[in-house]
Amino acid sequence: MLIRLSLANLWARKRRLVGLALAVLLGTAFLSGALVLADTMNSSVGGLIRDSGAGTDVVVRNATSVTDRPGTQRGAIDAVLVDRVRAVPGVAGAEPVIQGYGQVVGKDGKALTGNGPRMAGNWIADPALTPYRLATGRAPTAPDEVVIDRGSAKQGHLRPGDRVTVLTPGPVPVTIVGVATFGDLDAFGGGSYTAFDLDGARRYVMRDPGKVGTIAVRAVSGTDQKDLAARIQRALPADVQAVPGSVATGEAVSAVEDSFLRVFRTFLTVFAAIALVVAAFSINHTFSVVAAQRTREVALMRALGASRSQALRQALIEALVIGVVASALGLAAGLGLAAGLKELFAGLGFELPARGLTFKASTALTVLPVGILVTAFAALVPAVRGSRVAPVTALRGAGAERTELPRRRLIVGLVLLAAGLAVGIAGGGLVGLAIAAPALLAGVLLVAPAGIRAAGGPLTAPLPRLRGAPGALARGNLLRSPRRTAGAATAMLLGIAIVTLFAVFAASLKEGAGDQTRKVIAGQLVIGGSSPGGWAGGGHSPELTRRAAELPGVVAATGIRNAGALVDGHSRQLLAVDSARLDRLFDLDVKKGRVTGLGANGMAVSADSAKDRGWQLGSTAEVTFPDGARQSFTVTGLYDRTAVVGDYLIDRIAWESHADAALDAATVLRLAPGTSTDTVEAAVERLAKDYGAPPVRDREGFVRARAAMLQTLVAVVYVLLALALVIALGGIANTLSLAAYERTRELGLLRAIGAARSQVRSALRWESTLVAVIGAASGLVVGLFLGWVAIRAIGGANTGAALPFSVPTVQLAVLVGVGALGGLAAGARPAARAARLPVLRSVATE
Amino acid sequence: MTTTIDPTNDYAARAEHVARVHGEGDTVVRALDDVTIGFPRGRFTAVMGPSGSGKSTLLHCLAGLDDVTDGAVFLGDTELGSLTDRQLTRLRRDRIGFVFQAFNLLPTMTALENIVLPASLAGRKSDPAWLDRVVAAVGLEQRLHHRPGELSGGQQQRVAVARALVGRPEIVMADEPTGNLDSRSGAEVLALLRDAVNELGQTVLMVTHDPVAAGYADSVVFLADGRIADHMQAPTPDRVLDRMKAFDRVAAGAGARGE
Repeated sequence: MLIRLSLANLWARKRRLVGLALAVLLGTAFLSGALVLADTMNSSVGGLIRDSGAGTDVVVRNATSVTDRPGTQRGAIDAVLVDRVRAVPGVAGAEPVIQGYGQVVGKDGKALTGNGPRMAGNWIADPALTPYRLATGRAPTAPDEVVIDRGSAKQGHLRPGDRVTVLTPGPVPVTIVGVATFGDLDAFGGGSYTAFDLDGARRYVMRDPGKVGTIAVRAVSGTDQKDLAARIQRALPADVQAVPGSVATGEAVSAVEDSFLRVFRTFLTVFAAIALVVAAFSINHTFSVVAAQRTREVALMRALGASRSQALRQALIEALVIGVVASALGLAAGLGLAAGLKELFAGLGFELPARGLTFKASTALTVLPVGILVTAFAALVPAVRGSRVAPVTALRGAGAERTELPRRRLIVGLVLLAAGLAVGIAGGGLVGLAIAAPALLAGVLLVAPAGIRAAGGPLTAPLPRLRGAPGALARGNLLRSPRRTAGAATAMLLGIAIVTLFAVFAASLKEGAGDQTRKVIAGQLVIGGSSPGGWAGGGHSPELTRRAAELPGVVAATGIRNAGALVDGHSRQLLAVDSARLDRLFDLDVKKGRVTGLGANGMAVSADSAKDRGWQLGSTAEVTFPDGARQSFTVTGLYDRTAVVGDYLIDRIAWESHADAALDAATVLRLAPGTSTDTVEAAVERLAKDYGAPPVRDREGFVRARAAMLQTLVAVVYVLLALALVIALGGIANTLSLAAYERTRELGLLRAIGAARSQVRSALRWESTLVAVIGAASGLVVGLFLGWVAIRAIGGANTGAALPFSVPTVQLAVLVGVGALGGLAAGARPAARAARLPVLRSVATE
Repeated sequence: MTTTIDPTNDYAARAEHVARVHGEGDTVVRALDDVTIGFPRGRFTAVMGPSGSGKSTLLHCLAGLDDVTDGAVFLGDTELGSLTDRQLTRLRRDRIGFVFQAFNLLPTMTALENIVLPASLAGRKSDPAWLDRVVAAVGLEQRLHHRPGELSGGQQQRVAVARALVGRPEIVMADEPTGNLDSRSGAEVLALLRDAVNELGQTVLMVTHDPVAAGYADSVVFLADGRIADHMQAPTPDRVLDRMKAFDRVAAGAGARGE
């Protein structure tokens, strides 16, 4: 009986039904979309890696691994092992595999950059052992012939027959003879691949004819991978290992899943959670509005003998029905959203290696319960309040909504607000932030209705004068029920507060990083060190560094080389530099000892890392290089400034003998006093032309370029947060149209006494804009304050890098502007509908 | 029975052979059936009739709130059927004053704001001297800054009358203005309308089913089954009541019908 009544009720009020369902749908769609996209990425990337390794039965590789980060290479192995492996019974084929850095330079002399590793290697003819397939042209047959991936070919408008340069990182003039696909894709993610023939790869990529990277083995059919691996292992020295192909791809897949994909999933889930929280407030508010509208209905039922619990149950059944249906719809909408997000990422420069869409049962098992529970909880409070309605209310036919503000709520709110402010101002690090943020938000939400009542009047007072009668109407409706206005603005407040917090954070990080970079670079010119695509793994030939160092006016120079190694058994990123004159090139704020002249076994360490490891000057650190060699280093200096240089510095001499990575990520130049920076810059630029023209910048230019690299990431985050704002605006539109529906008679009266349609429209649009502005403005204040607290909390813990508090004024102004315009847009539909109401029927509506 | 219109008379509003049909087929209802009537300027006319007689429909048609199925409606010399929605809106705002039975005021505005609302919708200032006079006439000087929720029902209806009068409309249309009021408050509102005619020369058209209310009018028009049934000059409540009882007897024979 109750269920039938609930369903009948829902159906009878379709407008409300749509409003409620929409609020739930918006929230769940984003969660569903995030999960689908993350699963899609997982299965696509995993699938791509598995496909690429599918035909390889055994991988022979260096036994030492200095890092489990995907895309990084192990040390090389002896080339003579190839023949030894081929001789093992059960081996049908074995191909040496060489992989290293390779950057194609386009016909215009600029490097074809992108958002992924730039790889070069040898073309492998056996299709079982490589994922690359020739699309056009032929395989390389001479050392100066290459096959490039179709992604790069499209990007640089390159065809077989074109002559280009490949930086490996030294410039190699080559002829393109073929274009290949990665499976059926143009390229692997945003990466690029250039394949020489084996000779070319040895000469230019490996630069050591006696070595190869790994050996890919194809077994005679019917041979077990594990058995074959074991047999091959017996033919190998101890520092080389043979692993079954499935194990190797499994490692590669989990490496990607544990690093990039996990970050990606966490990233998406965080935004889904933010969206869901915003949606929860929106849902709660929508239910409150509907509950208020239904007061008379409930009161009538109560007057007819329905018990309180029946009234409550009826409301909850309705909420559950809506929760189930809307969550299911949201789940489906998530698929579309995931596809849209994928395109969006691509548009922003994050090409995701995704094929199709993966919909897992776990997505449904997450989204549906979450959606239904959030809906039920959001509906609970309004339902309980609604069930408390006294039966006489129906007889009185009184205005349904309570407009008085309970004093207790205000006092609790003020106390929480004060506590949040006090803790925030007092500081207290991350714990303080964890207390301040929720206290402050809860306080603001509780105080908001009173705040709107007190401040809303004077603040909107000019509106009637500016906008005439519609302005006065909008103002009146805004102030008639401060609680409802506050409720409508809440989702917006939260959304804007989060975006502001993030914007402040990003700006401060950028400013802080810029500050640190500016301080750490003591030289006047920097070559490279940034890429327009955001991929920081590139670099240029050390030859360029050497030749730049010889230019007149340059007194000191060093290349910066990334050197992944194990430090006391832990994977660490070291930096190999030319340490002879390091103090002239970097201002590291040295605390103890020295950072120059590190020699073959000296190491400079950041004070923080030294503290973590319990090191002092003179401590010994054992480093394992990618080739498996181990060496003890002595800590000779401790420094504080870690921007650009990181935590561990060793000399180039110590690194070069153990690993081939003849790639300088950047080069810093120090000029003689009185030398014109511009003159030297021009000279370096002329030199750089032979090396793919890496950018040459002065210190400020370098700082700006590094900051710009964050820009893409920041843009992606803004877009995701914008979706949360869309949810908030959807909530405003929703409740406004419910309000318009509720005020049908009022609107009819207005039209009867002579309000034009445009005036009714204008009044409602103003109302929605004002709600959005109230939410946006208070969200801005809250976000700024919490941002300030957060920046101090983080800066305080880090001795070396207290962050400056930086407010991105322009972005925030745009944000609030967009919020206001969004409010205007959100009001457009309900306003148009209200203006179309037939006058007579509206007046007559009971 | 139809009434011819005297062409020499000056009417504030008139209806010529007006028909209004709701629904179609079996459910067709002729709310108005060939009604011709004029409402002279400076007079207080009451329209009476049993429920379902079409009296409210006639008012709505005269105000341009409802379309006529046949015939024509005039406000002064303006034929309403040819007007666009925008023109009708302006006409209601500038030339007609409305008083409804209930829900007459906007809850978010003060009494004063409600009174000047039509003017401010038009982007005009109300004439202050006239405003003062109207406000004094309805006796609301002390309550101007109260919201409707803080006023009694009678006070709210007086605010609505003030709003109708302050624009000096060609005609004030009142739809059961005392329907929701007790007899004392109702008497105050009716006296106000009477004074508006006597002292300000206002034309008032009032739909009511209350013989006492009709007693305040200069003349009464009776409607039955969508047609003009009778006229009465200088009505008194007793005479009106007697005439209504005659309708009730006819209606009892014909059976009840909804409005």
